[in-house]
Amino acid sequence: MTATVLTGVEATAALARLTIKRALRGKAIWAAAVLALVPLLMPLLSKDSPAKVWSWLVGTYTVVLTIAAPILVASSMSDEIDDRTAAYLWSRPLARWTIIAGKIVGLTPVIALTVAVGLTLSWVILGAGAAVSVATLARGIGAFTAGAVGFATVSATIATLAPRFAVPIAVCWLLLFDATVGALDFGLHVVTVSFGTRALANGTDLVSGPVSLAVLTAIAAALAVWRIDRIE
Amino acid sequence: MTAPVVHADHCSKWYGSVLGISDITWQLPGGVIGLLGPNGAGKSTLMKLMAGMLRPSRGTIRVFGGDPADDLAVRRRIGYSPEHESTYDELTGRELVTALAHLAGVPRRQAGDAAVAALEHMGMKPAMDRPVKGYSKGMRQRTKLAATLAHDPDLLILDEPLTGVDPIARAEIIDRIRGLATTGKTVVVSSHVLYEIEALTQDIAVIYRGQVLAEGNLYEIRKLIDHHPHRISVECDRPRALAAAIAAADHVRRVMIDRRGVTVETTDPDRCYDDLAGAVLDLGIDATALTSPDNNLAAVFEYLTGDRGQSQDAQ
Amino acid sequence: MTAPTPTPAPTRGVIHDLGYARYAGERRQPSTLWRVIARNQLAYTWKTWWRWKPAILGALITTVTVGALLYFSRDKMFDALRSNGAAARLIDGLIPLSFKFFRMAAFIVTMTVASTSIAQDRSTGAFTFYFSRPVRPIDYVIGKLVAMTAVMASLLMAGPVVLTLFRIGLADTPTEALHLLPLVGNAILVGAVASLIYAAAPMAMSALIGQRWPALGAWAGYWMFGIAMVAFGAYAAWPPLIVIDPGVAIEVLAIKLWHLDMTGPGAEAGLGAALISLTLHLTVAVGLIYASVRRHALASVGASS
Repeated sequence: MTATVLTGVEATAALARLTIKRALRGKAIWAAAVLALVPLLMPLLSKDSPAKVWSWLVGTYTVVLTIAAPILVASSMSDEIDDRTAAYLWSRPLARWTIIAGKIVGLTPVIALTVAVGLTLSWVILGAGAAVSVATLARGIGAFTAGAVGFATVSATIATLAPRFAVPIAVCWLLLFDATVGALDFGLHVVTVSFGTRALANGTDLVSGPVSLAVLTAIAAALAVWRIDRIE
Repeated sequence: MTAPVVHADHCSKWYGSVLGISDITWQLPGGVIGLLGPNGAGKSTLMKLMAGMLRPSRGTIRVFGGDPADDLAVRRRIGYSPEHESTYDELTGRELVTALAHLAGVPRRQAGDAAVAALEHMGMKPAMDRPVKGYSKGMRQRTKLAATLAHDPDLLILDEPLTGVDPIARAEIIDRIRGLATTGKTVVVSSHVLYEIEALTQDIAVIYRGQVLAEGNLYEIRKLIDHHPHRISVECDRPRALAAAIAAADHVRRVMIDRRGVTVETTDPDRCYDDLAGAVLDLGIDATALTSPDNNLAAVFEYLTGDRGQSQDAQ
Repeated sequence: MTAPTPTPAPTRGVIHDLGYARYAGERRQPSTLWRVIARNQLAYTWKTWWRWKPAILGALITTVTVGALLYFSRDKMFDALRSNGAAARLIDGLIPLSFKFFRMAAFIVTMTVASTSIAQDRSTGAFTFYFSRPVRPIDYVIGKLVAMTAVMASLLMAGPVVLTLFRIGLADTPTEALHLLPLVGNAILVGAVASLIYAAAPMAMSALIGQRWPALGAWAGYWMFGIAMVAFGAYAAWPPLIVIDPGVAIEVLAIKLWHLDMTGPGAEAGLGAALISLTLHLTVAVGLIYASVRRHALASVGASS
């Protein structure tokens, strides 16, 4: 046996696999799945036009992301600190940033997938291509995947800043600030992940939306990488 | 002369206003060493510094000549087992050790085999496909040890590896740790339970209030403090008679009597043993046990720390 | 040399007196143990800066802001507006409308404490700790509910009651003050009902799910859009059913008790519907908490053995 030091990509992939394996055996992933399916009530019960319901769905799935990302990503980081299992990772020959990257890479697809399934089912209930175009659905799935990366990164950052209290703080921040300000028709909304996600999903603000989402995600990632190196 | 495995140079670590370790300069040449000290003495802090999990607030710590906090190649040669029993409970023993072996640098295809070998070495193979959450404390400790050695590290840092395990598991774990030493690995084991360390090694470092109070062979340390009066205890049926016979000897500093026997504090243990044996024979006393409480690690620790209360806590 | 004196037969076991004395003082009646649970919960909630304190700050800011608006609404400018009928709605509607903001403060505490409290006790093994003592599930449930309702009352009742008293103090004549006095009862009623709902509902989710972060997520989803969607669907069938959403029901209760006109979906719901919805919500929540706690309490102390 010849042990070597894993490269950043190898370590990230290994941590992502470990994270997914653990998540699949916990309850948080099921809570996220249920959250993503609740908005199906909207196309099932509403008598409004498909376009209007789709617009509500975009808003609701943005709120779903503000809850799903913290309970998966922030809790994954927070539990490592609370349960003291972080010692196993801290003592391995891994660059600290790979721990953040592994969590995000492992859990973002899970979040994006649950939302994509909910969104696609809603699209089918609304009448599929006849009611809402396939391009709109594809744009929505793409937007929520990008949004999932943003929300997951912000959640991970909050987890590095306040590891023990990460989940409630992240949910409160994303739900009460990010989602609220992001929904306002006001310039300040560019400081929220919600705005970028909605803008992409609705096909509006196609410059400021994606740019703000990318910049916010990059800032959050940089902060998380800087911070995790200082956690003891 | 070979370079020390661990070299701490004026190393201090504090957490806010709380001092973890204070200005430690210490070298670990190799072998098995027991870090001994009461709770809160700084053992875990020193071990985390060695494992690269913490950075010193002041001074340096080198492991295999490198900085364990920043040099991943150094950290790959280290196996660290934390004191707590928390693990990834959702996983099976095999999955846990495989994942941690891979994260420690074992190629993915070999990590499974390395994990099974380590689990087998720790006697965990029959239970390795069960979830960790169903394990007993002893099984958890053995799984943790398997995870520590699966990537074949050169330095094993085991923080309180015997905490909470039953006597049978304890004996097994002690055997296996001693076995590791015969393979040429350097093993650092901490405990606040004196007889655990004594069962593992005679090389100790006594940590107290963040400093290394003494280091080296247990008996050598004991010799160094020979000016400290020895105590010799005799369990017998007539302690008062024995006490009266020995009390006048010039080497006797103090005699204490209790229901079970006599404890004599002497400046000359050899003469004291002779005198006690003579008195027992002359007086026809029925002596059932002769012991020296000062010839064990507890006494060394008690003497070094100068704190009887702490020593009792440590035991 | 004297003959050896006979010694007593060696004892096989000895108990050393190490200074431990069995507690012989007064013991609490089991029926009062809920108070211990409640005190413990209150102390836990108060600890650290992020659980209760930011919500108190939010409620305080709301109280001061609404109080200032109440004060300045007496200004001559508002008098002029009042003559047009515009300010009348402002001054009388400020307190019932302020519940929306007080509820936001309460929601923070549901996230930081209430939705994780019982789940945390379950997952950390505190149930074994509690129920291996003479604590019954009912004591535990009452203790938790009382403490959490008190916490919520500090956010949902204290502010509106203070504001109502302030409003009475601003009355121009003693007759007007007397006329406004029943509003204190209204503020207490709405605050108390809202406090009970905000305490019981998240704790029911916590008890059901049993793991704190999934419980928190499920609660947030339920409260922010889950129950709203059910109410929305029911509204499509029969508009008064909008009060299935307890948030809307609290709003309806406040607006109707202050005899104001309501706009939006809740306009078609009556006071009775709101009260029935809130009572049902509370009954189901408390029932779920008790059933779940009882089941896990028995399991945690090995009742089957």
